Amino acid sequence: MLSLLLVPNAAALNETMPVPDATFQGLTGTQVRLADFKGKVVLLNFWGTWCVPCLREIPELVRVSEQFQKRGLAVLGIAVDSGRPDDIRAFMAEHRMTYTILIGELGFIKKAFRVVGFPTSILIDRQGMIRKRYVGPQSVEVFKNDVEPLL
Amino acid sequence: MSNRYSDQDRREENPNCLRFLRNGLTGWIKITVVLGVIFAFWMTDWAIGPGALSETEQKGASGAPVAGNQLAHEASPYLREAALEPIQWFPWGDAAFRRAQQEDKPVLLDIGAIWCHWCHVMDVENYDNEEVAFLINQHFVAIKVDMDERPDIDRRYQLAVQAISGSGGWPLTAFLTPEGKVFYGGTYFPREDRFFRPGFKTLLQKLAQAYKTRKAGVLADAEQLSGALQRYAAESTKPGSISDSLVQSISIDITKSFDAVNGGFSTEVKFPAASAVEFALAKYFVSHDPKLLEIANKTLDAMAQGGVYDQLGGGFFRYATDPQWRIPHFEKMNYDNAELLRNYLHAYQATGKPLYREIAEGVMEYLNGVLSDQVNGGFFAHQDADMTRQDDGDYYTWTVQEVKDALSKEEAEVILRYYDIGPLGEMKENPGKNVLYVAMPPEAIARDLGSPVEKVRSLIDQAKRRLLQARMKRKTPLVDKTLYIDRNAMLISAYLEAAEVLGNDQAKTFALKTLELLLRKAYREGQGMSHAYFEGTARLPGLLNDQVQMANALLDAFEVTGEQRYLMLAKDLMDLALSLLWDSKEGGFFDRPRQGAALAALERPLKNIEDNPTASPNGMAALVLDRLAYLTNNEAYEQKALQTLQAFAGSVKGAGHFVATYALAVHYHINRSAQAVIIGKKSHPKMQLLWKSALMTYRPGKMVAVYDPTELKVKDLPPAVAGAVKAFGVQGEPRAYICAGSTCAPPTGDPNEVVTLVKTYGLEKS
Repeated sequence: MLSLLLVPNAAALNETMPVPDATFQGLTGTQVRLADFKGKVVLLNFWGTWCVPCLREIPELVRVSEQFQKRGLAVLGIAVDSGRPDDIRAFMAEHRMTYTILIGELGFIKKAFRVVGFPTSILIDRQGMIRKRYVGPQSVEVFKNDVEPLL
Repeated sequence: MSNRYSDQDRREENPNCLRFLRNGLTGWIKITVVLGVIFAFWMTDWAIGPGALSETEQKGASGAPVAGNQLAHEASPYLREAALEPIQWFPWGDAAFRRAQQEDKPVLLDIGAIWCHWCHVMDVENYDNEEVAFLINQHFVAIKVDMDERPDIDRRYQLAVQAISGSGGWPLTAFLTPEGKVFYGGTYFPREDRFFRPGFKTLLQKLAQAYKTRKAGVLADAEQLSGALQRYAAESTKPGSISDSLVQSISIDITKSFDAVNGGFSTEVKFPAASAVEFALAKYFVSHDPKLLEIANKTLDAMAQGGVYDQLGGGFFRYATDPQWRIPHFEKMNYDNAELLRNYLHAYQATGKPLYREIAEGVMEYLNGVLSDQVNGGFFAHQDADMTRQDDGDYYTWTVQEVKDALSKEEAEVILRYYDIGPLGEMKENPGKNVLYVAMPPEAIARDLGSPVEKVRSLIDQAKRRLLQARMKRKTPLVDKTLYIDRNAMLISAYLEAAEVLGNDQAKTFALKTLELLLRKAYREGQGMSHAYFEGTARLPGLLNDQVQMANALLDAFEVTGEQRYLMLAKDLMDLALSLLWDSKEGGFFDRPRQGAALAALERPLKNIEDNPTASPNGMAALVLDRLAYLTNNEAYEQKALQTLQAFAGSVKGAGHFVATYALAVHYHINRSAQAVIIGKKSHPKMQLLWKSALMTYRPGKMVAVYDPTELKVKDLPPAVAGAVKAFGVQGEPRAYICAGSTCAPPTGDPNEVVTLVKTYGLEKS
């Protein structure tokens, strides 16, 4: 009851809005555009290696990714303020992360996606429309329920 | 002055030093046992009167008094003092019970404390008396225990005596079978019969006779009581699930039992109930319920103005005997002052009221000046109520003449009004003596005397200083210089908070000095903290409260210094508590290790959840485990915290302010307060600024952890901290990571943003 989040204008980035175009950095230095994923259902997860609640959510994301990858779900973890690509790769290995990790710049993410709390996840349908926004770690069941109808 | 007579009556009604929990309540679960044999015995034989033992039995062959007893070499000053009594006292131990079994005599167990006025009265009236000594030495094996030294023994026998007599307190006078089971008990007894109540001499004779002539019945009574206590133990630790609504129901109970007229709880005697005030302030911060703030404000205001506060020397007395907080029992305990110091600091943060700061500083002034070793570190246990065994608060009270002798006419005129000092005071033994409490505000005095209020105020200040000087000429009540570890840990935590809130660096220095002293003298790897340290010797390792309070103080020290060593030691202590004290069947912690043979009532397992008189050990354990889980990123500790809280969830309803710490622990477990991790080079000025901003910002239950990547090996760090440290390697700039509830704010390097985030992140928009 007390941990309701302070989310200014959350509604402005809610259901059925087109996702803003964005470019993230891949771990090998390549630039990855969000628009490249159009046609897939995308679960965008903003996280950081420093964020305990984010770490708790990782196993859930791994499971949802492994379950729906083949049916057209792309889970994209956008790492914020999490060190060098090598650090992140080591972290991924340690936590057995099998979904795609890209690097995001904090200022841009705060502005473009209005992220005020980590982890924040955004579910995007095949048409590039935002369908749902999650603040705080979610369980695999929650993701499954929302992802499945969009596939 | 209208209620003075009733105040005096009240003092007479309660001739013992009361416990926080009282009047037939053991916490909140009633245990009442009527013991058949003894009861029948009173009814039938009382009319015959005392002296039922035969002449030869009274003057048996071995009845000659034996010079000295076994207490001379005890560490406790209370026990040492009794070494001169004509009773053949034994300290608690095998030898005493063996003797009782060999001679088939009942045991007289006296549990008291050196600070306790009625224990002194009992000593002077009974235990110094040759006739009484003769009866005891002849028919009983006598054991004397210092309640501060042995809280584990005290707790168990208090429960037993409460069950049969309806109330506990000190001196606790219990009669046991040679196996240590209680068959009769009470608190203070006058020597001679009074009205239809038996005096101690009569009681001793009757019980000796009962044991001799109706032994089977006495033993059956003891068994019956023992069974009832087992049932009580089961009742007081019923499992359940935890939720916000459980917290809410305890909160409602606390609000209901609040005395809205005088502040505090209960309508008779007033104990501080610092945990309830702490809970009210913390819950108010998130709910903004004005009733909760009123509980804190009214209670703290009333205590600050009352006789329960030493108006001249600072520091709080143990409790007041009246609902208005006016007439105290004059002993000053370090633990009350630790918890109240935190109350006043938090209330000051919450309200900014100068009075609260003034009282917090007054408490520290007293502790620094009287109740601590400023050179070596360490807080002394307590200060006695009386100057001698005979007086009753004479040190702290004043006759009109004494005031006039100490002050100028002008000062006296003001102060007599301010403290309502008159020819008829509040003290029963010495009716001319007045307790100092604020009775008339300076504004009213100014009107009365037709002088400016500023002048009245300065006269009051001046008079207070001069009265204190005059008081210092009196014989100072004794200070017990034992260092109790749990209580020292509480004071370390309170002083570290004072350092943050008041910017008092001396408080921080002294707290850390004391912490280091305890680690050097009272900590052993594998054994944890001892309970007491005195004259070079640490004793009684392994009690729950010492481990938990010390772990808590170590975590506080870690927050303030960023020294990893403190975090690791806190972890060691909680690991030890989990291995030695954890109840693997039902969850929660026992108060003492269960391994090995235990003597008498110590055999009975006990898990404390009430704040009695200080924050409950199991509530504190849950709070500490949750902090540790966060600081080490180890969910296993969080699980143990949850299991601890669940272990009592089914029995806390209706307990109100007695389970405030438990309620607070549940609240924080469900609703995580702000947690700030700050990464950077400690010496970096910006780092200092971020750190300070997090520490000084008021947010009940917040945690602050600081890591310096230039000092630490990444592999030793918790995973999330390691992540942040790696990011630091890229940025090179200090950063604060602030989380609350189940999310984290975007990292920041701005001190102002740190203040805002620590204060509000994760809360509903306020």
